[in-house]
Amino acid sequence: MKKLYLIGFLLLALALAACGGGPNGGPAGGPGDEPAAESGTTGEVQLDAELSVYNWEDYIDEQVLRDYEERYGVTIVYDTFASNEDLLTKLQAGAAGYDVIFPSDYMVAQMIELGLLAEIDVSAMPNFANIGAEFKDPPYDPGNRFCTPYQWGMTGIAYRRGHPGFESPPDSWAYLFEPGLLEQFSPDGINVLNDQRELISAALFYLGHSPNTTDRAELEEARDLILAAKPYWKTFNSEDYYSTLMVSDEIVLSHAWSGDAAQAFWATFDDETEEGNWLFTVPVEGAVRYQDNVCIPASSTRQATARHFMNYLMEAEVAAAITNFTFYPSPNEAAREFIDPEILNNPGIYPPAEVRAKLQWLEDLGDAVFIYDEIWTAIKGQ
Amino acid sequence: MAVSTESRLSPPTTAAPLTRGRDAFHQAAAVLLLTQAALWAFLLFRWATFSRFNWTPYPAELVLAEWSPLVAYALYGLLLVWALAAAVGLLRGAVPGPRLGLAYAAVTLVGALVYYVIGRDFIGAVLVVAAGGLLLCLLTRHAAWSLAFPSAFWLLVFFLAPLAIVFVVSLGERTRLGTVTYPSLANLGAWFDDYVRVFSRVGGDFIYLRIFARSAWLALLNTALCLLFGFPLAYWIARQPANRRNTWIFLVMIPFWTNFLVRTYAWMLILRDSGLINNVWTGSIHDLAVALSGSSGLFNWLADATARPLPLLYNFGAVLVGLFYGYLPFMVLPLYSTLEKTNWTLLEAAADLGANGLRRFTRVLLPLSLPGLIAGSIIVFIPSLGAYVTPDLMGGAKVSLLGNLLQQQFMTVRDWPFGSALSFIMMAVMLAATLVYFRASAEAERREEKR
Repeated sequence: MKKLYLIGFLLLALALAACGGGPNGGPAGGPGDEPAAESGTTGEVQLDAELSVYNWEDYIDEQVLRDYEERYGVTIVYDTFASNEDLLTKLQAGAAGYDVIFPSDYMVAQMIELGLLAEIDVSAMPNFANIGAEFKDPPYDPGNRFCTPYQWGMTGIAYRRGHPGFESPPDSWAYLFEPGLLEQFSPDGINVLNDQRELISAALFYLGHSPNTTDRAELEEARDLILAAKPYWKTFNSEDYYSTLMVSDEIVLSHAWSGDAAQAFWATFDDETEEGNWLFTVPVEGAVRYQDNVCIPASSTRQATARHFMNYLMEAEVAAAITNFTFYPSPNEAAREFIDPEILNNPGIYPPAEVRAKLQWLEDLGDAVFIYDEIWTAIKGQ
Repeated sequence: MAVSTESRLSPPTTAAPLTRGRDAFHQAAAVLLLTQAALWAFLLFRWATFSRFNWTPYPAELVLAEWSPLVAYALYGLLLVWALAAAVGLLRGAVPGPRLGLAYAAVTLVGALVYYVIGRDFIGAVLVVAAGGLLLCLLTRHAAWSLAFPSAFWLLVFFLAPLAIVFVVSLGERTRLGTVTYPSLANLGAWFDDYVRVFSRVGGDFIYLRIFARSAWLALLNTALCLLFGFPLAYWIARQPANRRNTWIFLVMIPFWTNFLVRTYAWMLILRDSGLINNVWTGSIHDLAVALSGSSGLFNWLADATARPLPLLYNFGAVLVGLFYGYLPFMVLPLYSTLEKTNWTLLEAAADLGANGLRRFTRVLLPLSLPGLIAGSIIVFIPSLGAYVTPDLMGGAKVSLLGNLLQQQFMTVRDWPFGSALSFIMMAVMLAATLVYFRASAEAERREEKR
């Protein structure tokens, strides 16, 4: 037994004699931060071997990712999320490892305030010049200090082509809120977006208020309007309404995002008549415009590669390929010549200037967010 | 060998206890210690070869890297030698063995806590604590504790600890950006304002209480429905010949092989406007009614009614159908397992003594099947109360229940403190329901016994 103890001490002595060792230089010098040796170089940028991209579902042509992998020798790890809130919850819970994310406008503002995004320098991205002036310097990210625009869209009304009630497009929010119209269309089905800001702003547009109002009386007016209309609505759905409700004709009218309406249009497209069953219109009272963005989480360890990828996404051909796949309009002006003319000429996707003029951003609400939460709970709980 | 040949010949004169040496507990503890020693040896090896192999550092190694490399050598070396010595001591029945082991367990337990405070490495600390705790149980020769320790520890770490975290969050306050802050210690009232909020009015309406009531009503209704249909089914299966019962129970369980979400979507396909039922309703039934509409007023009415699809989906009834379908097997299985063991001669005796069918059911069969009935009802009631997917999909997200309110607090509104408070109140309600149920059934049994 004594021998064993002795061996133990010997081991200890040996170890002590070896000295040195451990991850030298402490945590900062860990291998995670060092650029991989065998990764390729382009220009002055040293690229990492891997890049983790976290995007919305069906929101990119995956060929675009494969092209990037081939061209630059970077392996892309691709993952998807379902909502801005999911994304935020994941980042806040400390899920590190994502290098490129795609939050929407209002979420970018919150993430900046929470310090979750890494700063970028758009002047170092040559392709940023491709972005149209209208889409640069947005109110949620002044000076594009954190994000570059990815795709944009509008919230309006999608309607079933050929329904006798739609001789002219239902281009008013009245179709979602006015009792007479609701009586007419609710037997055939109406869906509204299951989204706090979108639904409340639709009611605010109809009432002639700003979609960013913080006035309690105006918001309560909107709440009462929504509660009065709620019994006529068939569903609250903002996730799969275009595939489960619209394409199968469960409804004839839906509060909808333009890109989703376009998906329903193409899903029901008839090659002979060259018509889809679903059309999209922007209400005359005004509507919400939204913009999704490319950003880098502050926790990313591969920011140089992420910035390189952001620049790649703004290449004209790449942006056009994405729009040709998703049917969302691109903020990329140079991409127009590569975009399918049918998409470019579709007013439901690329609206004319007079419609564009009526679109408004959803802005950060400040402390009024508590009123919105309260109203939303009342709407959903009734 | 500790037990000498002499001691076999003559009774031991020394106090050296014979059971000490090589019993199962000490052997198990020794094995555990040996694996620990192997772990330290492995870590020591990694530490010594960092410059050569460029390992990805563990959190513990990053913590140790803050000090001189000698600290890590000393720590790993000490623990290695200690674990080895204790293991060998235990295996050979040496006196210091158990003591060394106990001390080792105590040191690792305390060390793991200290390590968590410094390094914030939850998984590493939990693993070390698990090994230390098990060692402690083994060395103190608590057979039941040793066997229960792994699952008890699992529950403690992955159930009680998160529960405590949820409770702490429920005391906080949500900021505009959805982060959580905590009110000052002096302001005790503010700690529980999220609990008070459940009982408050929103826009002149007790909205949260109403959601609670609606959920409880739906859960009760679902439990009653499952009972109403599940009892006869379980009874019928239990009265089948023994060789066929298993087949029937097997058939009851078959739906579980399909994902619940898929089954819910299947129901949606059946119930929706262009679904199976409405196809028949607005199709063949409508055609028939129109053809016959001249003949009587009834057919006129039917022709009008069938012109539109029935509103089967996206309402309260649809949610109930989905829940009933989903939870019926949970009612049938416990009921069947009680009924199967029932002594049917008791029912025959009751019949012989002149009890009619109803009396035989209420006075004999029902009390006998009470345990299964209670178990089934609880298993159905509690998940129905927190149902989330079914109301969202089959209710068209229009019917708001507790589960949806909770999801909304955590995801859309990001009011984690209120969501946590809600889940605690929900748990309290479930606990109360369970307790009342058990109390009532215990009382009923006692009354039965007195008679």
